[in-house]
Amino acid sequence: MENMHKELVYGEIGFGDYMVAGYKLIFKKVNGKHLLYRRIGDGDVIVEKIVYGFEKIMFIPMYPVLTPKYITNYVLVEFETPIHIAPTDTTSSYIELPVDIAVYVYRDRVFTIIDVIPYTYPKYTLYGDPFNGLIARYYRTPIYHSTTTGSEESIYHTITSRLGRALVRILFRNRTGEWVTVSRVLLDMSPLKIFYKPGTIEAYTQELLMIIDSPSTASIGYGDPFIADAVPVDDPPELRQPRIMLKTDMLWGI
Amino acid sequence: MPLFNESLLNIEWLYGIDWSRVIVALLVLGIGISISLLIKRIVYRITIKFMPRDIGGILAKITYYILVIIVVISAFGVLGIDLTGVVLAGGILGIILGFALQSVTSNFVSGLFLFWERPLKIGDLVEIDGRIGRVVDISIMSTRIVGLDGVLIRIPNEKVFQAVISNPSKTIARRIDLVVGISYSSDAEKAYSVIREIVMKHPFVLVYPEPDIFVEELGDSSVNIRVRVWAPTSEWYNVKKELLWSIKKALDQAGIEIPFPQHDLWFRNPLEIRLRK
Repeated sequence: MENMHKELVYGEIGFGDYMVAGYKLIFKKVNGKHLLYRRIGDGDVIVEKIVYGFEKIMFIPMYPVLTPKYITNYVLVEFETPIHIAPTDTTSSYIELPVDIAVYVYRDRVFTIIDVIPYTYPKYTLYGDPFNGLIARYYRTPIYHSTTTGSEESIYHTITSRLGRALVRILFRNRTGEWVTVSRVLLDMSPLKIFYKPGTIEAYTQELLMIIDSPSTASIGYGDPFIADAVPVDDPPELRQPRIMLKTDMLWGI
Repeated sequence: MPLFNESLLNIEWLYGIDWSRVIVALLVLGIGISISLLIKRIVYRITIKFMPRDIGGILAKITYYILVIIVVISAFGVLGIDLTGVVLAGGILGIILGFALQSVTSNFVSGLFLFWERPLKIGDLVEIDGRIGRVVDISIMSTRIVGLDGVLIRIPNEKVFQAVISNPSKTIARRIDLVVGISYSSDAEKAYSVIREIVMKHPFVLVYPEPDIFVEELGDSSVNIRVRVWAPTSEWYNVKKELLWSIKKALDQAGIEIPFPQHDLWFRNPLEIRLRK
């Protein structure tokens, strides 16, 4: 029965059954034109929706802050191996960002999200202290360097060949006159943009710049996409905020 | 009898009035009231930036009336009329009213200080004077909270100002403290692993600050394991109840006994049991 499930790729999809992260997703046509959507886990129907008047259904990688409930805009990505950066040095690396999978339905260019499927098990953390800090989705990532891990293409393949991961290119710039250790990066999902390649499971963010101001503080800047033929996701309403602050300050340790 | 009082036609008294003074007094009155209105608007616009509109309105009106009183006294002063007596009488009246409305004044002033200090805001879940509820209104005289049982509680601002206020909504994360007792015959290592697995599995049990699980006490009937975890304040209640329930179920499944208090009684001499037929 397993081989009856269609393969999940980002972009427009048709009716049928899909398996994602242990869930069975059913897209069924009812009355010839409506959509009956079901997400089934452990034999129980977890989500059931009926959609009228849609034009297309899409799987789209989603910012990992909507499951199990939207409580924050931030993701704290901790490195499995901390990196040491020499005084005034600049270096670039690649890290993973978890992405969930959203089911979009469109009519013209107007969309609604009928479900967000958590791909990696969500955990949250406190960054800072309870009074001044913030809550963030927590994720632990390997750190990839083109010199040690292989060519950039092989890094791209390593990360983007797995569903539920987005590739993040990050440039570290140490502005201090001393050695610094970086073990985590705080990302704001509002200025961050996720891109994907339709017909594949590849997802990316834009290039990020981490400017290290002191051994314990830094700011994250959000740059331009580094993959040419990827398309941006349509942001959900929760994260469609005025993008005035294009920097995220890390004031409670890096 | 004259058809009308001729004295009414006598306007000679008008010649005795110093018209220049009257005009100056009217000008003082007109310009003074206009400036008072302007100041009232300015006070309102400034105060509503950092306090609710109704409080800003009250402060603006108070400022306006004080200014109008000063303007009127000044205008009468230009006419040569001394209002010292009226002011003195007003002062005495003010003292009398002050005593009579002491609690009202106290609540009002406390309300102003509450707006200034802002120990709570609308929507916060707070404990005031032993009452827990969500703040729904803060007015100049009182604070209203809706208790967890849905009952509206009005607390005079004077009491709020003097009370110890516990406001968990001011912090983004809160600690959850649980005590799990297991029997002395149960495998404590296994119990620790089971509890840790449940704690780490819950999405809203925060990774940092790290969960702390340890044997706190070797009690009379049980080995007491303390579980300390942190959760987002908004999820605190749900996490607490879900954790306790999940731990109970997981310990049951693992065959770990959660004992109840029991006492073994030992008698020094054998008990004699008599049977009646």
